[in-house]
Amino acid sequence: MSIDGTNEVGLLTGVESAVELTGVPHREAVFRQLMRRRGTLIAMIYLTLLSLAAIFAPLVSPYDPIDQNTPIRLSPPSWSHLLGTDDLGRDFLSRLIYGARISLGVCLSVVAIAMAVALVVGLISGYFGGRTDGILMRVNDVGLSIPPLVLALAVAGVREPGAVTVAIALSIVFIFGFTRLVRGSTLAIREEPFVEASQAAGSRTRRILSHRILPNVRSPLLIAVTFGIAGALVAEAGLAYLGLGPRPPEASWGSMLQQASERVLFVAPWQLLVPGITIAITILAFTVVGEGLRDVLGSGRTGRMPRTERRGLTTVERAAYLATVPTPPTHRPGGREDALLSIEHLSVEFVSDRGAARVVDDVSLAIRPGETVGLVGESGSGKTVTSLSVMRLVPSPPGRIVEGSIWFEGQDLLDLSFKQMREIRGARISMVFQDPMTSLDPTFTVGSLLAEAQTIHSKVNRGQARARSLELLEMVGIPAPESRLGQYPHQLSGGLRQRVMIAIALANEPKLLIADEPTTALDVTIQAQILDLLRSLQRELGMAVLFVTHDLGVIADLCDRVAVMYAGQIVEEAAVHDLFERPQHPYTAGLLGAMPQVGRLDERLAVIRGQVPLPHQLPAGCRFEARCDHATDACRAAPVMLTESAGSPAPRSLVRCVRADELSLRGAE
Amino acid sequence: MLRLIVRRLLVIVPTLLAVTFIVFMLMKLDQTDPAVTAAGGTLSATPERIAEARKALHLDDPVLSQYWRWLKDAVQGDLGQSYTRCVPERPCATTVADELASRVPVTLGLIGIATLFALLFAVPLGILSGLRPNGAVDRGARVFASLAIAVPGFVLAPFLKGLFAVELGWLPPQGYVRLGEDPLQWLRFIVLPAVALAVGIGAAVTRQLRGALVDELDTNHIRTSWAIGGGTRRVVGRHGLKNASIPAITILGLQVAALVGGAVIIEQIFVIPGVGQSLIAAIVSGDAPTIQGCAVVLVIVAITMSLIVDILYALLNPKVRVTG
Ligand code: SF4
Repeated sequence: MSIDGTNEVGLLTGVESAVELTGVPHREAVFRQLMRRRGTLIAMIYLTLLSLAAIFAPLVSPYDPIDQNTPIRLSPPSWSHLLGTDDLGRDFLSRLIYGARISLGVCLSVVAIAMAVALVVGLISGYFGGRTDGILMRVNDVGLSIPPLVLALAVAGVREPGAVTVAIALSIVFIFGFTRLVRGSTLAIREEPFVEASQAAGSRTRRILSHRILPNVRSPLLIAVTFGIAGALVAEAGLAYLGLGPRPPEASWGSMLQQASERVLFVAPWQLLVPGITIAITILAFTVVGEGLRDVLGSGRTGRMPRTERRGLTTVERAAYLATVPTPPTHRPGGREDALLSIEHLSVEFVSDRGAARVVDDVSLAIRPGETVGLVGESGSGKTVTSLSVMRLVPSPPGRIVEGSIWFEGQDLLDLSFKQMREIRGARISMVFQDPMTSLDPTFTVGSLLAEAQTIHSKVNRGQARARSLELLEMVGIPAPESRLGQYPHQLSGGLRQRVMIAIALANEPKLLIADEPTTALDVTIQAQILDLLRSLQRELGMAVLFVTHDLGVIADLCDRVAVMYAGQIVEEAAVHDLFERPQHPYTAGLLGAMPQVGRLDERLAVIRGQVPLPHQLPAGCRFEARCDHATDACRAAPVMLTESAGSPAPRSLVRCVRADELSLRGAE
Repeated sequence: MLRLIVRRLLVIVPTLLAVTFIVFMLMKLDQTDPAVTAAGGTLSATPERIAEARKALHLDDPVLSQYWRWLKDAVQGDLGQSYTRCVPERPCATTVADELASRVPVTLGLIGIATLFALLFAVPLGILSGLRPNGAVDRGARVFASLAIAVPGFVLAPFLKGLFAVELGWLPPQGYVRLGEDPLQWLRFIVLPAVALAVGIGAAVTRQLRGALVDELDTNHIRTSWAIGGGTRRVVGRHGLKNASIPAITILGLQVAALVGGAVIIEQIFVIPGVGQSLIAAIVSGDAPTIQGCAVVLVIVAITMSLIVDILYALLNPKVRVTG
């Protein structure tokens, strides 16, 4: 309340924004974007009109604001007095317009003075750092720890009440918050390469500050100033309300409010409405403009997002697909009857403002019990979305499964309700994620996370859960498991965390383990250990594994079969040895060529040129065409189908390339 | 954990020193002569009495030694005597410290109830809007929060008075009854001021909690919780909320100073005999010892409250607790 405007609207929001901001958008572009937002436009029009009225108050006011006319005191709104008259018969509208002069005048000067001081102190503190920074910030912290209103009162108490007193008091209050913001933004920019370059080039400090740093901290400061004006307005009104504001007959909005509430609250309560609503609307207008600025200048994270559908369950909308599928679904190599998991014709779309993008397109893949299948592709290939779809964990929005079926133990996972799906997750199918640093809840101990994984699916008491947790930790090769139960994730190394993650996944002895890049975030020696662990666990427990990775190298001695994905499609699927020896698709060959290998260290790694096409701009023909060394006109003509390759032994491998039969590509030795 | 508290307590001492020093110096800048005030004001003070007062209050000593004298007394709990209520040769029974001792609980009660009210609506509202961003509740809550932040408590207060006290007559318009005397009456008197104080702060917490929950439900570890088969209550209620409350608590900490400042104005409006009311009266009459005392007390209240918030923060956040 009251001066909390300083805190809530003024400083805090500014600080948050400063962190998010990157780059300096062009001024006119910013203005145009702002004007396109309806709320911001209305707020800016209101503020413009208000300022004009304040500036030209003598011209636009119907009466002299201090002209008393006792016979018509407290008259209600009428044509001659649009907002009525106050208890001394003064025209309320005229007083309001003149009040705007004082209120706005005080706020603008407060913010201007405070920002001027803060710029100097903050820039010095942030740019030079070290001892200077330490001392300045210590002092600043003291200033920040005093409740703003108390400080303002102490300062205001020294002088005679009046608008100037209020302005001085509030300026001092605002300096501390602004300084912290300027200093923080400067600190962030100082580390940027272009600043270091200027330093190295020997530019003068003043020049670096004014030409390099200032333009880059401008955006957060602009936002802070806008919110700051709103805060100052609250604060000014608060001080005026306490009787420290302009002295009668002059009045700011705050003093009008005070007069109304003191003198006529019980006689004419409606007199409160006019100054009250004016203050509120004006604060709101400044906040709306500030929020508009933050959205436009910031990362745009706060933009309009579609409504969340079912939390924790991917939406399935495949009515059109179901109407077209022949029953029973098509049989494939390793087909449904003997498969544990069978993904059939899966398509997933991501919906955004630009329309729907198909990030997984007609993917079919089967895994037999106890089999380990690799799913390989660059980032953006759709491999992770495919694996998350099995767990129905693709967030909706933006994700949506639009075609296909995912059969698991006789059930189509895409038919299941949230409750049914929960019974499968973590019990029949488990998942290990890429980033062990962020995939474990930081606020729970290892012991409680492990216990939770068990209690969700079975009735176990504390002692049983603890015993099983120890067993699991031992199984994933964690020494001295007792000491780990009470620890929090942040106390463990990356490798240990991933082991805990695996232990959680195995808690209920799943039939299928999906490992999504489980080693990518770890360093090389740890990677090898985790891979060894997964391999031995797979053998020991006999579960099936879907191993998702961008790195063909880790697949070779882990998987039985491999599917390679490119731009949302499977481009090749084969037994692991066939794929390594005789890749059929140029993309697979490219991946193999990019793989570092023992005995080939002297050779330069072949890197596949170009990038994966975005889902919005896929070519009509082969999706790999732009990057392929073997492309011909035939490749561009029509979409390429996934077909059984002629030469390969059973189980047949599949490839999506029109020239697969004629090319003979180099594999890995 | 203990280290954290000790470290925070150690920071309080220099902060208080700085604050008292600043306020003391500001008092010395005052254009009115404290000796005149202490001698009974411009109308009744005779030159002799002014000279007496000046001597008794050591006003001719160097400013720094005056501050030192004040500080030495203050550390022993003696905050001096009011200039306006007591005259040097005829000290009154209650000192500034006594006065404050009876007023602090009043202010704390107001702040406490206001915080409770704020959390009471902010927590459910923040959770409901965070669960369904852009759903009906969320859109409503967003409009409400923008308005609540735009309407300062002291603007809201007269309207609350007008509606609930004057029009409907449900609650008393102003005044105070001590909690010890009649708890029910106390509550009736404290409701309106507490609501006026709570709305803006509650709105800020609502916003933050909503934002934190939205961000939180997108995190990797929440995905893990879904992946092990957690239901909504477990994933959102246990994991999501625990993590989202960490930034929300930070906001609460930042609101503390605002709460203390707001209480000063609200006490004035509702005629509540708290520290704020005394501060305003002292400022109007130029009563330096009382101003000093009030400032010190209010700063201590603000710092203590943010310390409590910090401890809560550490309790929820093992990264701070275990390593800090
Ligand atoms: S179809 Fe053509 S362009 Fe596509 S991979 Fe085969 S050879 Fe290359």
